[in-house]
Formats: sequence, C-alpha cells, structure tokens
Amino acid sequence: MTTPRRVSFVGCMLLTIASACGATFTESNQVEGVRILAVRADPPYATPGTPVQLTALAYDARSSKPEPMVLSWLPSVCSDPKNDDYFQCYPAFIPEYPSGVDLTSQLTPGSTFSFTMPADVISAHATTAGTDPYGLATAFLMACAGHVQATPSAAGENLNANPFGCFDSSDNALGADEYVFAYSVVYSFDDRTNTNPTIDHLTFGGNAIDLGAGIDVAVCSQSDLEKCPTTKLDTVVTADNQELDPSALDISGHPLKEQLYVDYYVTAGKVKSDVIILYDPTSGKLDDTGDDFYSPRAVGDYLLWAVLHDNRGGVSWVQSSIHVH
Amino acid sequence: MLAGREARAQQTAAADGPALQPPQVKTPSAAEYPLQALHDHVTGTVNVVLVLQIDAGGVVKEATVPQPQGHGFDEAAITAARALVFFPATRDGDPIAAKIKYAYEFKSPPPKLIGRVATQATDRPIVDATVTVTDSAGQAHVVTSGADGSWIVNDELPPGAVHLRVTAPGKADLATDDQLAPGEETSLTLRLAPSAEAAAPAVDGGADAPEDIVVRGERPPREVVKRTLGREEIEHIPGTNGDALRSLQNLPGVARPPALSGALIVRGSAPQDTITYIDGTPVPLIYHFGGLSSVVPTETLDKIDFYPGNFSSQYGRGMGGVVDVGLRDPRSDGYHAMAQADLIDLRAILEAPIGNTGWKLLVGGRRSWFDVYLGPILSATTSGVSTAPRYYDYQAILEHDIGSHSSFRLAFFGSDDKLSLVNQNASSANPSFGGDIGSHTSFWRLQARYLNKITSNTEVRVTAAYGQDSVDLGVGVNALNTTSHPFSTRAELSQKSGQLLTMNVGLDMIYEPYGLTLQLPPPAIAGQPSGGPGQATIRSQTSNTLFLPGMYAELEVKPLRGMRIVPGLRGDYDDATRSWDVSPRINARQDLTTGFPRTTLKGGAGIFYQPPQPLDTDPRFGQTGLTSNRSVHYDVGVEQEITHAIDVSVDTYYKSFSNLVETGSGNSGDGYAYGLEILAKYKPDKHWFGWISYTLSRSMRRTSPSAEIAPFEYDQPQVLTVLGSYKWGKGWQLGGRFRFVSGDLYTSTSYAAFNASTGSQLGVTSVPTYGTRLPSFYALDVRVDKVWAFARWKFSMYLDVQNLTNHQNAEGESYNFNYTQSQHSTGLPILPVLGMRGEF
Repeated sequence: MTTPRRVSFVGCMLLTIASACGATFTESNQVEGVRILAVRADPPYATPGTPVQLTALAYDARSSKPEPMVLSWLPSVCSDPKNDDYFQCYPAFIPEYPSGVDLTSQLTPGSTFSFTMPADVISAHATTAGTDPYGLATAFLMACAGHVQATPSAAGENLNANPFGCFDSSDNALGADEYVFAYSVVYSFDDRTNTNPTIDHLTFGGNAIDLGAGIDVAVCSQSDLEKCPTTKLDTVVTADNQELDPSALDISGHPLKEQLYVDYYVTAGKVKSDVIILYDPTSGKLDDTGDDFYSPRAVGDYLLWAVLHDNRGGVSWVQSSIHVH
Repeated sequence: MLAGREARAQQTAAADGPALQPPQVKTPSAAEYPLQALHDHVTGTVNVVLVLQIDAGGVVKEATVPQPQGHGFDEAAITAARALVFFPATRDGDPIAAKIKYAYEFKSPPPKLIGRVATQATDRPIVDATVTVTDSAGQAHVVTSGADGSWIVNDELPPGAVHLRVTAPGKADLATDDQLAPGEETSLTLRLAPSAEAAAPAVDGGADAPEDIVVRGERPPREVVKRTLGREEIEHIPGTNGDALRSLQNLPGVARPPALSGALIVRGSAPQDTITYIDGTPVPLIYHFGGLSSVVPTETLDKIDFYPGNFSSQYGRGMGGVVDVGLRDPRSDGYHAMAQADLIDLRAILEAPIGNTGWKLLVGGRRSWFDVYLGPILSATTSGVSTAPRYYDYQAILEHDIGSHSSFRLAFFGSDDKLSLVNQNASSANPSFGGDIGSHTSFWRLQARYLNKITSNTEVRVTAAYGQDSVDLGVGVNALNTTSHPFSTRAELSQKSGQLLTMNVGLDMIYEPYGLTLQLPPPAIAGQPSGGPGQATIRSQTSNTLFLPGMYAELEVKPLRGMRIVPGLRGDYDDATRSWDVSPRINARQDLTTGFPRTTLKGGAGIFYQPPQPLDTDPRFGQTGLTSNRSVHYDVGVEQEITHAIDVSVDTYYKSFSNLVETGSGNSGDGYAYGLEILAKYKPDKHWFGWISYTLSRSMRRTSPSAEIAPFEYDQPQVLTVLGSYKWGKGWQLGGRFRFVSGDLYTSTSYAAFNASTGSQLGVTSVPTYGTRLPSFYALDVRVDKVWAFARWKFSMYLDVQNLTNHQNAEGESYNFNYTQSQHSTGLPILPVLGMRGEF
C-alpha cells in the first residue's frame, strides 16, 4: 500500500541467520545441567470439564550434584490469563506464595501432574475476533536442585520476570544450570481435537536405531568438537501424524496442516541444529530432514532424546542411549 | 538609498511693497528617497509641497504638508526641510519671519541587476558567458561574466520586466524572466546545463561530464541551492556503489540504518514517517531489500529533493522527512546506451528520439544476480537456507515537448523483490518462524505528467498515476498479504504577481482500494513482552479503500530585500478516521549579504500529520477511534559561504510528537526530538570534492503520559561522515569515506522461562525497551575508478571496498538458548564490489 513503509523483513531475517552463524555459545541441544526438555499433555486439546494429564521430561546432567534435582508443579492451573499471556498469571501468585519462604510443601512433586479443564474455560475467555471460541489453562513447573522460593519483582523488571527462584541450603540463589522454570499451555475447544504426534523411529547413519540397544560411536580424538566426525541423525514420522489445523488457512482460505518439528537433546557431543522442521503447513513432508550428530570426545554411556512437536501443543519423545567407545 | 535631489523654493510670501524680499536658500538639504516607497515599489516622480515657517534668523521653525503623498515621502521631505537654512526674508532691509511654500521632487532610483553564471550541478563558475538583458523598454544590454562567473549591468535600467538570455560555449542556452523593482538590487544565479553535444561521453570522465542530478538538502522557493550533490559526486561516493539514493545517508540529519534494512531514518523519526515520491507520486519503497540499492537507478534520475523537516505545504501525510525523486527526460541528441555490471546487479539503459516526431524514449532495467553465487554459499554455511533473494526494476519514459512552454510525459516504472526458501533449521526460540519462508514485494506505476508555463508568471503542473502495490510475506503458518491499486493525482497552479508575491495552490489526492489478509499471533502490546510462540494465530481478511484527499495553498512573499517568507496551509482528509487535519506552516529566509561571501539566516515552523496505517485500523489487529499522529517542527539555521569553494550550513531543529498510535492504547504516545546539523562542503572542482557532515541529536518517546520517557528505538545521538575524492588524471580517481556513528539501541534480555509445550526458551525483556546501546559504529570505505575514453564511447571500472579495515561493528545482540550469555552480532565484514561499465 502507499502509506505504510516497511523496514526490510528480508534484511532482518538474513541478519538473524548470519548472526546465528557467528554465535559461539553452547547449543540448546547440549544438556549439561538441570533441564526440562518437554511436557506432554494428554490430550493436547481438552474439552471443558475433562481430565488432562501432563508428563514432564526432565534431566539432571550436572557432573557434581550437591543437592538432587526435584521436579515440582504449582498445585493449580491458571486459566484464561489476560491476552493469553502466561505471565499474566504471576500477579495471582503474590498473595499465595510469600517470598523468602521454602515453598516445597506447597508444591506438587513428580514428573506427572493432573488437572481437570475448568468447565467455564471457554465461556470465561474473552472473545477474539478472527478465531473460533476457545479457552486455555496454563500449568507451571520447576526443576530445582535445591528448594523453591517466591522472588518479588525488582524495580524496572518486566511483567514476565521469573516469579520464583531456586535456592541452596544456605539460601543462595542458584543459576540456570541448576534451576529451570517452565510452563505448559493446554487449549480447549468445544469441537476441535488434537492428538500427540508420534515418532515412528530414528535413524543413525541411515540405519534405524534400536532404542533398546542404543547407538555405538567411536570416541572423537579432536580437541575441538566442531572438528569431530559427524553422523546423520534423522527422525521418521509418518504422514498421518500431520493433522489439519483448522485455525490456519492459506491465502485463499483453504485449511493448512500442522507444522511438525523435532528437537534433539544429547548429554555428550552435539547435534548441528537444535530444531529441524519435518512437515511444513504448505509443503508437507520436507526432504533432507537429517541433522548432524558430532561424536563425543569422551568414552562413556550417554543419552539422546528426540522430542517431536506439532504447532498446536502436541508432543511426544523417544530416548536412546549413546555408547561411546 | 539617496533620492529626491530636485528641490526648489517658491516665493509666495506676502509682498505688500517693493521693499519686501522673500527668503533665499542659504544651505540646501536634500531629501532621501524613502525606504517605504522602495518596498511599496512606487515608480515615477512624486512631488511633495511643504509650507515652511521661517524665522527672522532664516531657520525653519515649522514644516507642514497640506497634501500628503504617503509612502514615506512626506516624512522624508519634512526631515530634509528642517535642515534647510535660509537668508531670511526682509522688509526694507530688515529681516522678518515668513511663510513660504517649498517643494521636494522625488524620482524613483533605478534598479540594479547583478548575478553569477555557474554550471548546473557543481556550481563551478562559467567564464565569458554572454548575458543579454532586455529591459521593459525593449533596450538590450549585453554583459560578460568574469573569472568568478559574476556579471553586472552598469547601464541604468528602468523598473519592470526584464528578459535574460545566457549563452556560453559547450552549455545549453538559458532564458529566464524577472522583475526589477526601483532601487532594489536583484541578484540572479544562472546555472547552465551542458549542451547536447557536451553531454555526450566526455574524455576521461572529466570536468565536463554530464551533471544533471541534484540532491537538495532543502528546496527554497527559488533557485538558491545550498546542499548540492552532483552526479560526479554521487557516482563516486565510496561505499554506495554509485547509488544516488544511498548517497542521502551521508547528509546531515540522516541516521545510519540498521544493517541490511535500507531504512531512511530522518531527524529521529521512524522510517515509516518519511514519505517517498517519484515525481510527486507516492511509492511504497525506495530501496530494494537489504538497502543494497535504490529502486530507481542513478542513471535515470534528474534530481532528488530531500527535505529533512519543515517541508512545504505541497507535501503531507508524513511526520518525518520527504524524498522526491525526479526522473529525467530522455535525451534528444541521437542514440545513447549504457550497460553496467558489478557483483550486485546488471543494468542497461537505451534512449533516443523517435524519428522527427518530437517524442523521446528511454527504457532501462536492472536485475540483481548475486542469487547465482550466494545461494550455494548460503547452502554451505547456513544449512537449510539454499536460495538468495533477487530483485529487479524497470523504467520506460516517453516525453514530448509541446512548443517551448509545455511538455507531456508518460512514465512506467516498477520494482520487484522476491525471496523464497525453506529454512529447516528453525529458531529454538520460536520454531513457528521456520519452514517455508516467502517474501515478495512489488509495485508499478503508470504515470502521466503535464507541464505548462502558460505565461512568464503562470505555471501549471499536473501528475496522475495508477498502479499496483503488492506485499506477500509468509513464514510457516504466519502470513501477511496485501494488494492495492492506488490512483494518485497532484495538480498545482503557480501564479506570480509582480516582484513581491507568488501563490501556489494545489490538490493532492490518493484513492486506493486494497485487500489485506493477515494470519499472525496477537499483536504485542507496547511495553509488554509477547506471549511467546504457541499463541493461537488470528486471521483477518479485509477489503477497504484508502481515500485521502488533500489541498494546499502557499504564498511566497518578499517583503524586504533579501527576505523570503513562505506561509502555507494544508488540509488533509482521511476517510478511515473520517477526520480533517489542518496544517499551517511557515518558512522564512533572510540574506544578510548580497554578494560574496553570502550569509543567510533561515527558519521555519509547522504542523505535520500522519494518518494511521491500514494495519492500525484493521478490525482485528488494529483499533477503532484513532486519529492522525501529530508533530510540530521548528527549525533555525544559517548558511555561510567561507570561500568560493566551501560552504557551511548549520541547522538546529526541535520536533514534538503527540497523538502517536500505540498498540492497544489508541493515540496515547508522545515524545520529542531535537538536534544540531553541520555540513561543511567543498564544491566539486577539477580535482576534488568532499564534505564533512555532523549531526548531534536526541529522540525520545513514551507510550503514554504515565510511562517513563526514554530514548526512541532510532535514537542515534552522533553521526559523523567525512568523505572526499580526488582525480589523479589519466582517468584515475581515488576516494574515501569515514563514518563514526553512535551504536544502535536494543532491548536487553535475560533468562525467564521455558515453554515446555513448544520447546522454546523465553527471555525477560528489560524496561524500558531499547534501553541499552551497542558500541559505536565506525567504518572506512574506499573507492577507485579508472576510465578509458575512446572516440565514440568510454569504458570504466571501479572497485568499491566497504569496511576496508574489516572492523567488527556490532549490529545486534545474540544470546545463548536460555538468555544467560550474550555477545554482539557483527555486521558486514570487508566487502569489495568490482564493477564495469560501458556507455556511448
């Protein structure tokens, strides 16, 4: 149109790509501390009044563990926060969880958590033009190698500043390698369903992985992980897992399908890309979805996870061991 | 001005006897020609008759004017008469008091006409140019320009209309009309373009190379250009690949855009606040993506008018600056062609007259080709990205002169940028922004322009255009698609009324049906973090019409010598908000000196409105009840000639912003910007050109009156550009550009939460946003040119090296996966661009 001006979308995107290339950080897929890797909801879309079970995938990869990692949940879910923003739930935590107090007794421990989708979750949700009526519930969980305390917002902090912290026995705040704060959103529609996509199998070097036996690789003798030999890692998902997404239409108004993507996590070595898209809403199954696995530089037994997502909250995962000789 | 020299006494005193003698003038006193009469442009002879009371000592005790003449004549006559000394009247030999009548005659002083002849683009003096001045009586006066290009008519000229004709070897003749006022000195600068023969390719690209592109820092109502970039400069500014519009980024008041953005950031305003036109027709973009080059090749330009602020009432709907690009007319002196290739794009232009029909045609086109070699590089270095973007643009101009006073022109031009790729390696922060990525932006216009100089005082200019704008962006399930068909028209009548006054009235209308389809996550609220990936997308599909009629009137008034005041009033209607915006504006200039070194004071103030954008008023993503964004501009400055080769201009400005549209909170935003701009420019001569440009500024915004005011996203306090180029002879030219710029602002982010449903990490954005500044930017660019001239054509090569020292300038901030570590992401490394060009 004539009046609006656009800052170059493509320029920003190219810069983002270029910037990512230049980064020298530890990759997201390299699990080296306390991590929450995924939460699966059964079912991913829940009608009002129906039960939902959440299962968390978490792992503690610290080499030294003064205190064990504990996975715990806030005991109640937050439904229909303002603007659907998870951090709009935070103000309600202030009176419920006083700061400076060990909250262990108030939290629900374990890797699973169940709740019932509120009956009024849709009717209580503000109507959004352009979408079918829906509601949502948000559950919060923490992986903490100590104990959890509420942390009041400091002046100048944004609305989404973390409302909880993890502290050791001396009440010293622990860092991101020992504490993860996470949330999981479950949507509710009257007549829409979603199923968690499933992984058919993984391949390693073109061969299917026997998840019971794991994979065997030779140790890398290079001092620089980037120079270690790579093996192609791929996730096979059958096409029937890509469901129609009624909320996404192409430019002609025809419904699109889900986007399916896989996150890899390893406790040794690394994979080249954290996220690989397997199925695109418009193109369907993509070619050449393999990722490069860099062989670890130390002998031992390690773990590999492939977490499959659809873009509507559907999740599943598989785990394999890695034997480095 | 001294005038009124004819004074005479009339003996009217009582004379009852032969012994009575009237008083006689002992000491005369001449009357000065009154300034008011000059300003009122009184011509001819005026007589003022006084009645004087003279005492016995011969002193004038009282002077009165029985029949006043006005225009300051009466006061001038009384003042002069009081200084008269008489031999007193006598009776029988004894002095006595007397009452007499005494008259002063005022004759209007002749006008004075001086001036200077210079080259059109580079302002170099032209020696031995012949200036023929035909006065209102039909008498011709011929003078010749001197070594500095100056000339003066020493003959006495009558007031009234004069016709000037200027001729010089190798230059096109120039004819113009003007008005001479009594007692006023009129100074004219007459700039000559190369003749058709001289405009042909010149040996060695030397001093007589075509010079027909003018970049104006500010357009005064008449020919008094202060910031001029000639084609010779534009084509050789290091770091711009000879792109005329990219040269704008070296002028004061223009910030360095973020890397690969191609944005024009003018005086602390957002890029979308600066409006871009091609010959008065609004266009949606001026640069191809990434800012690599502009959508109109330099070779097809006639001029670029750039207004950083306080622009005329003829422009509206923008709070920042205005860029109006003028396409040149095709050449009429035979066939000409140009072809150029460099590492970025390929271009060609062909132009010629069409037989003896009086029509002339120019066709040109350009296409990038770096997708051919960049695609494999991207594929190898950023796995999953395999296609580089491409762009092209095209121009066709058909022009016909109708007599000597009018012309008609049709132009067809457009641009097309496209990128389509599959990025399988999505960001772990937001996996939905991966997969199929498509960007296709295009526009075209069919434009008709009619010019008619009906008389020497009346001119009409009409431009109408129809076209199409299209934007299609898609990333995964997110999409933005819009297609519109704008019809725009602009018509202006300019009427000159004597020496004092010129009036411009005009219409400026846009009618634009459009369709807009959006499929995006909910819009972020200003000052609040996004909900993160995984939010349900919202789809909106609307069809509507932009209807933006506008009208304006502007006066150019010259009340005093060397002064020009331009008050204007503009009214704009926005059908989307159903409201009128009325914008009064005023600009003024005052020359403090008429000859060298020229000193000019200038200033202006005005109100500027910018209607909400269609996305702002979209029923699902926008808001209702919006009004236009508003800004008030103030500007005060001075221009000073230091030498004949060096000009310095200093400007200060202040802009207030109010009624700014903010997401979710209506017109709640406000802010201000202020700054100091300095430009010291060495005008192009046989060997050198260059300038130093420095801007010191501040731009502040807040999203609501209760929010804390903070530096605006595009705040860039210091911008220094030093550039120069030197011709060594034998076709060699070497130039350099150094830039020092304050770092861009960004919003720092820290560890927050993990969205376990999508597998994405989210950060906490700091408050206020854009509260952290990157390190300062500096870069040295170098350009070398070599021209080989042949009998009928010339061939040239250039090497333009950006960031010669390979300085790692910070362009943004990169974070690790959970925002606990960060480092600066850097911009372009050393980038050599090799190009070659042939033309005849």
